Amino acid sequence: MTRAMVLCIMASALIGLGVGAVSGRNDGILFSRSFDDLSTLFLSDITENFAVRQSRHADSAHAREAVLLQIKVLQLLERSHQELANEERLGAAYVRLSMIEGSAGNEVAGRAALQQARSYFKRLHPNREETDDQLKDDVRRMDDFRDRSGL
Amino acid sequence: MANEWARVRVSFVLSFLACLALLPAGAYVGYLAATRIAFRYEQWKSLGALPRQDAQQLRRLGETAYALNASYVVLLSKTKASFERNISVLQQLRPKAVPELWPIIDLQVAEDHATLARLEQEANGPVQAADHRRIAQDMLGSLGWQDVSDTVLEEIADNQLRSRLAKESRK
Repeated sequence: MTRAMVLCIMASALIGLGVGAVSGRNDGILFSRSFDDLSTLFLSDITENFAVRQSRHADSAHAREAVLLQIKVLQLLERSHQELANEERLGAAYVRLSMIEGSAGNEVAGRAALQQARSYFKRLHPNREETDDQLKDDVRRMDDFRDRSGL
Repeated sequence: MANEWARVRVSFVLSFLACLALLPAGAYVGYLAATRIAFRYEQWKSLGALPRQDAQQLRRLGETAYALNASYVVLLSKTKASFERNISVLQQLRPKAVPELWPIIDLQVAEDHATLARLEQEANGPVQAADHRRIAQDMLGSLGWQDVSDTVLEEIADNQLRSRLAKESRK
């Protein structure tokens, strides 16, 4: 086998490797972005669904745990700069937490949670002012629909 | 001279065949390696704003959520077999999942049992229906549900059977 032939074999292997690497790099980036988008969507969706179900049916300890899990996940997503309408979800989660604390007799914790909820809603709607009862009613109606429709 | 020429011809053919084989093989290896490296790098970059521990946790949570959502594909049809299959998928997923998400998996399993109780009842299987009902009630009880009566289980089954298709079409 001549040197030219060996060079040809090596060149074809390198060309193959190069072509594969370029298309693999593009696909890797694409897969990563799709994975991020979908797992973010699924994660915020399933934790919210769980928090709604638990806050409507479970005792306050379990309901609180579920809502805190949702808040933790949403805050992690927020900190990782993954764009999603998290303010709305976080605001609603804190209202939910405030209702749980209220029904468990923890008025101070309930008010603190409502304060947090307001800070998230304020980022979205700076000019909108809602009373505590309005906020709770909105979230209750939303959860009612979600729970009954099984979404 | 003829022998020499034959040897050159053989080595030429062999090199040509080697080139033909190495080109796609190289492309395949390059593709696999680059996909993995680019995927890992992008993942690392996208969670770069978080401390390492949080980034790892979020990645694991995301993987579990992804797998959990994939299990719903099993439920495209609202049959007994599909709910049984989903329970088995979720039970396999649970030990691999992030412990924080175990209650979410448990709730889904409980709801699937509640729905199976209804489907068994309709298929004249009262014993199996009672078994599914008992499992659903135990699981919901462990999740802190205050009312695990038959009425609640019926509501769950109604919701599951009604919403499954809507849920899938939404995704």
